[in-house]
Amino acid sequence: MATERDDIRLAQRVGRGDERAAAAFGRRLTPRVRQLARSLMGSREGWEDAAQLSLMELLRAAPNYAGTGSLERWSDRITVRTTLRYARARRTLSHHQGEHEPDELVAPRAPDPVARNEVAQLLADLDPARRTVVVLRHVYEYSIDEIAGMTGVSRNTVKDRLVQGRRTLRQRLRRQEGQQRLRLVSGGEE
Amino acid sequence: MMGPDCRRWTDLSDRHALEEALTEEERSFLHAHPDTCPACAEERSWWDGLTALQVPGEDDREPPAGADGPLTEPSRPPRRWLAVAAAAAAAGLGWWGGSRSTASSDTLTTGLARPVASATAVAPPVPTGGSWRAVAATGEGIASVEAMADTGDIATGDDSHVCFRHDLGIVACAAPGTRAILHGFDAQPWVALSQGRVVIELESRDLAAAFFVQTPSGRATALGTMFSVETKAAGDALRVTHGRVRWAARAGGTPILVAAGEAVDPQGKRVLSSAEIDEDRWLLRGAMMWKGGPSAVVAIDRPDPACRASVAGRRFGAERLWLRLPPGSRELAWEGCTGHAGQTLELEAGQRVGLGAETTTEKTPTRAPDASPTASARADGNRPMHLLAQAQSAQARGELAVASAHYAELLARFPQSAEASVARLARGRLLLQQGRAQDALAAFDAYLAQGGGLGQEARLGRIQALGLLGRDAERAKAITDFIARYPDTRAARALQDAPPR
Repeated sequence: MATERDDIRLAQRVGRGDERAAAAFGRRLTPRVRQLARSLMGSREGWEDAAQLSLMELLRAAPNYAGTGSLERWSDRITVRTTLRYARARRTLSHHQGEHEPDELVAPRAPDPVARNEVAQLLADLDPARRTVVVLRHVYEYSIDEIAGMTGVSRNTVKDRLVQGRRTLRQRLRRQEGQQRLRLVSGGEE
Repeated sequence: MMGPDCRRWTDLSDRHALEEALTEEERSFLHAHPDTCPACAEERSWWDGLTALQVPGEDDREPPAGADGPLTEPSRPPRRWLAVAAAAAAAGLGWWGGSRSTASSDTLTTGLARPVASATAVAPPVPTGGSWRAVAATGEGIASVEAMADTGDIATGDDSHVCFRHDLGIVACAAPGTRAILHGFDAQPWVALSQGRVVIELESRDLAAAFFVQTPSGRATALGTMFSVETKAAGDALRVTHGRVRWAARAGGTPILVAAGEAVDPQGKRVLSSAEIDEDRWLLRGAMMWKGGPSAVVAIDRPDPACRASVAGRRFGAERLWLRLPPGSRELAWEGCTGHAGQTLELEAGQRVGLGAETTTEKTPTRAPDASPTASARADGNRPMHLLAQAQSAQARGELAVASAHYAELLARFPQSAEASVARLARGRLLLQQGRAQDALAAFDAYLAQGGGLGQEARLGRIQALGLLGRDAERAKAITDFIARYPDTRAARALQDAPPR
């Protein structure tokens, strides 16, 4: 089990351009970064690019890792910021082009084959701002303050989005032919 | 239909998620109720089960050591990529120049000649330089407004508004429910409005005839100093308070001039009502307090829903208010409520003050409003991200040539950026879509040589490219290699099951 001191050493070696350290760093963080970027973008097109951008940002920022939290939590913060920035750039563009990404998604999207299971699909159907908060709170178990810091919005905005996201999910869950979906979700079996 | 106990349980569950304190009895109920209620038990297990998503999926599992090679930053791109980028730059500078001059307005100005591009117009010099920065907002946190300032993307909620000021002296305030993009980060400023209403005030007539607001159906070009444009399903509406505005419909026809005190909407031209003038002025109110120079940021939360804040004699009614104000003494008063005393704010440059339930003061480094290099650097720093997003979006729409141009521009202009690394892989996928298998193969090989976190995707692309080229022996070897590196993935299983070529 790596200690924080080990992690700081690893990050500093990455910063010095040590390729073996970079490979170890990548092996450790890549799966988490990919999973978080995918959850935040709702498996939407472009999540892989967001993950890759996040990995690049992590490499750049490695020398700044100070060990005040785990390497994974530090990585999450950078991944969240980078992915949201990328998603925003994409939304700006589609807005400019009149495509209107489903910020206020009303109609459910077609099932996404990439979504790992129906839980991920339900999260993917949330609007991006609410999905971000729900994922960070319930999947990654961050506090309200931490989420506010990562996403750059006020604590009250986080709370509002969380409540709205939970209500939307609750309505959709109950609207489903409840028993089967909830059994799938709670047990994860199919 | 939920019973009262279930409603109570969901309410407590929400409060627990919000980190609100619960009484002992409430905690006990939250814990025990699902034992007697299958619906709530299922919901609880659903929320609890979400943490399982933290575990990477099978396609994200950690590859064996060395599977992806070193994950290194492209500090020195492989020579062939430099060559590609240089060749593209050399061959395409004019092409980019041409496409860029229209790219900034490509999708919105088709069919309408822009004043600056008109060959016959006696056009004034187009003012450029500077950036937009947020100067006043209601209903949203400061951080999100500042984030908006990075991209120029405005999306106000139903109960919020935001004002931006461009260094050249243009104030644009977006009313509630507005979506727009501010252009003009080191370029000619203009606004693309796709929904809602923006109110514009020009601080100088020098900008007349050069600044405009583009809507899906037309363009309002400023000839005076204060006007607003609204776009909605029924059509566009234009109100002019000062000066004149030229309105040109996208569908063509003779542009019309709208004078001060006039409004034009789908029903035709009419006299502007005083209520409409007041409505536009109200939006500009906060922004007008700050016209440049050093500033402090004041965030105000109403202590009571009945309260209305009044700063320096200007009244604001919104739930949360954020203002950038010049340093000095300002009077804050609460109106419409009792028991909340006003106060005098002594503002210093660079200070951040939070007022409301809890008052906080924080000294932050001054961001001088004329510090456009900082803003420019930030805007430029966002440019690779926007180029990547533009390319991705074009690719998703099937506009492959446009996407290719954006990737090429990104690779040539920002070869060291993280976005360029992503673009190398994405461009490989694009080339595959275009049927250019040989080029795609080179792109995937370049990506793998450089190293990166998406080796799995690059190797899959490589297999596809080899298949298209009919290089079956190499393809079979690449498949074997892929299965060995990523044995537990869905892709590996699909490749194992795929019939040999």
